[in-house]
Amino acid sequence: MSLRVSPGANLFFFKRMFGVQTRDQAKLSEQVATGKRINRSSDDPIAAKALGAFKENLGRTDQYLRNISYVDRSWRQIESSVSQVNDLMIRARDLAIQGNSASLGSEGREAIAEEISQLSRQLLSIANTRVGREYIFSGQATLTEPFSLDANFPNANPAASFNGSASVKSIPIGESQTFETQIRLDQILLGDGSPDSADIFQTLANLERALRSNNIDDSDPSSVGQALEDLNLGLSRVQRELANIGGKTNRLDNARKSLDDHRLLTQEFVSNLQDVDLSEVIYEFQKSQTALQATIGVAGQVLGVQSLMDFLR
Amino acid sequence: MSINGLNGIFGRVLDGLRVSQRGMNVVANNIANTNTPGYARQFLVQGSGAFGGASGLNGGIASLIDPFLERQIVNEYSDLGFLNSRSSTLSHLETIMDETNHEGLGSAMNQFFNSISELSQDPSSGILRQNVRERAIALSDQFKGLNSKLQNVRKNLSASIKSKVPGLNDTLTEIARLNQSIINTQDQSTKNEIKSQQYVLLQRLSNEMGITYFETQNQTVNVQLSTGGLTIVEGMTASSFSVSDDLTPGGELNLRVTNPLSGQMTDVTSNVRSGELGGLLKDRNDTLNTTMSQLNDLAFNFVTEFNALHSTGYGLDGNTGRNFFVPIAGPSGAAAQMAINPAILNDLNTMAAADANPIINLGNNGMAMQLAGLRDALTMEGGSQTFTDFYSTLSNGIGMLKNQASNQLLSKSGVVTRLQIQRENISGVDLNEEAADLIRYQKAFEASARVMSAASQMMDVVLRI
Repeated sequence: MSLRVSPGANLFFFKRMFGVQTRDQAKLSEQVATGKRINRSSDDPIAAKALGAFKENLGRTDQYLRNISYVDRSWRQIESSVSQVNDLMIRARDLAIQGNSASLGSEGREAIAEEISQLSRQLLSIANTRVGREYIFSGQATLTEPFSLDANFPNANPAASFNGSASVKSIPIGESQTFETQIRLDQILLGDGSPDSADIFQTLANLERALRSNNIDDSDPSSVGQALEDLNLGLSRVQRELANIGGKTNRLDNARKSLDDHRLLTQEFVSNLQDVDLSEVIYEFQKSQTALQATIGVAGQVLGVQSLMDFLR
Repeated sequence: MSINGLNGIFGRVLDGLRVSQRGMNVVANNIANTNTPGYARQFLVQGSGAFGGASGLNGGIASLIDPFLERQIVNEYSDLGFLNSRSSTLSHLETIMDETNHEGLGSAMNQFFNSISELSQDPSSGILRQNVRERAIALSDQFKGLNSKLQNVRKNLSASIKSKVPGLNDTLTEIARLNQSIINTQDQSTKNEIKSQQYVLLQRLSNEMGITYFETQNQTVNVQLSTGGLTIVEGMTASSFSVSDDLTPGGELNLRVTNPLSGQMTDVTSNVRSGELGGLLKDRNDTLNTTMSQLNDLAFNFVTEFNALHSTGYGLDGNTGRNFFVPIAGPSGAAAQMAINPAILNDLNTMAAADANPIINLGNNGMAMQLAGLRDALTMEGGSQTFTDFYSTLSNGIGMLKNQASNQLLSKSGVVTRLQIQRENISGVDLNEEAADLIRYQKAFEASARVMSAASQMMDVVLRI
């Protein structure tokens, strides 16, 4: 290396220094202005890719949460209807016990039978509950009225029929996770054939007929007492379903909570990857500004230095 | 001792005066060219001819050039030009495809799948179906928009390449013309100056494309392409470049060289791999074509996979076997052709959300669930990536290239600056030195003049005898 340093060399050197330092400053001031460390994917390609994946995930998590609130609304509706069924059946049981009492006259039974008949129709209207234009208990056949009483009710067997769909609707609430939004009310109200279920409509019809015919002979299959037994069976089925619904809402709450947690965590990841530590960036910015000013000062002195030429007279 | 008499002194003194004058000329020339780019300072080579007979002092002029360094600078310039043009093209591309700060194709795809997931809540709802349709329109707009933006970038690159050609041909002609001047000139000092002008041209040429050059016996310079070794300047003959028309949509832009003597035209597209032109050709023929064909692959697979599933589903009208998108024959040009089936645009009930005839089971959302699940299906790259993965790899790939190019550019420009500093330190003009030389030659001139006057006085003395 020779000792010779030409002024032209200094010029090249300072030109480059200005270029590099101005570039650093532009980058830092962009970070201060946007508050983000990554403003385009070339700023940090690896992190940008991860960031993209996190943002995509946030978008779909939001959709799952929207789906969950829909499911939640459905189950609240179901729970309210089923607990109305429960109340109705308790009332029917009370009435049946009253009607089964030997001290009651035929007129009293007639009055009770009338109320039971009302309850049957009330049960029908609960079973045909609509939200908007959709029947909530008709399975996927959402526009079909699910339950109807026979024209000869209560003097018919079967007393009521189900016209809805046996398949219930499920919607996605997570990665490969779906949640049903309907229940098979027909299995509860019309029985599912198992020994611990009863056809509740049929039972109410039987009860009404038994009351009207004053049949309180417990050994007779068509007596009030027999209907009362079936009623109890049906009631316990309804109550099992209520517990089941409670369990479902619980499960749904858990799913929502875990999605919320996941969302929060993802947002934290996004923020960690993307956001700048403002105090650090401002510090870096000031450091680079000081450096640039120093370079300008030194450049002025070095490049403007007098040469021997100035002393030639 | 062969100093012959008093008369001889006059001859020597004259030599001295001449040499000092030449020295002054060299200094003046150096000072005049202080800021001439590429100028190499000259100096007077002084040899003592004082005792060598009649020839007197000889003062040859030499340039201070380090040919190795010049060659290195020329080489680095082609890398610098390559990185420069790539980094600006890639940063443009990145702005188009980036999803970091704005909603592009990637987020349109996600919103489309989200709208289908929402449709599964209530598959018979007109509003939710409408939402799916709007998202689908937005998605196909994104595909088309991105495709036409990429096409524009490619067109602009072709135009940049074309606009470079005349300047390039001028540079080649100029180098050949300077070769001619070198031959015509006898004076070595002028030859040296012409050569330093040629170095500047070679740097400019190398900034455009990778070249190698060598000096011939008569000091002219021949230039070749660094890849393939095709000669583009030989003595006073300069070849000329031309560019093919940018007509074929997926095709390449070709760069050709014509030799004026033989009239032979050679395709050198694959031989120009560095310099700004090399960078532009790479992005035009490689990066852009690859990116666009990947976008087309994505559009084709998206439409095909979605249709395949959708056509097994049932619309609210109970019919099946319908496409959601207008089917596309093949990946070529697929992104531009993406459109929604007009039947679905006209009648939302034809959109399939059920996996069985929903004529009674209006709530059947089986198909909506399956379609929403398509976002997680490994449908791209022979079953190894999802749609979103594929696009994110594509768009972040551009960011990655941009990042590499600008980092390399930063370090390469550092290398070039260091070489230029080194070159300046050897060949640059330093006014202090020139001032010192100026004084030196001035003093020498004065001294010679004084000798002359002393000799004259001595002669007077002799004559008075």
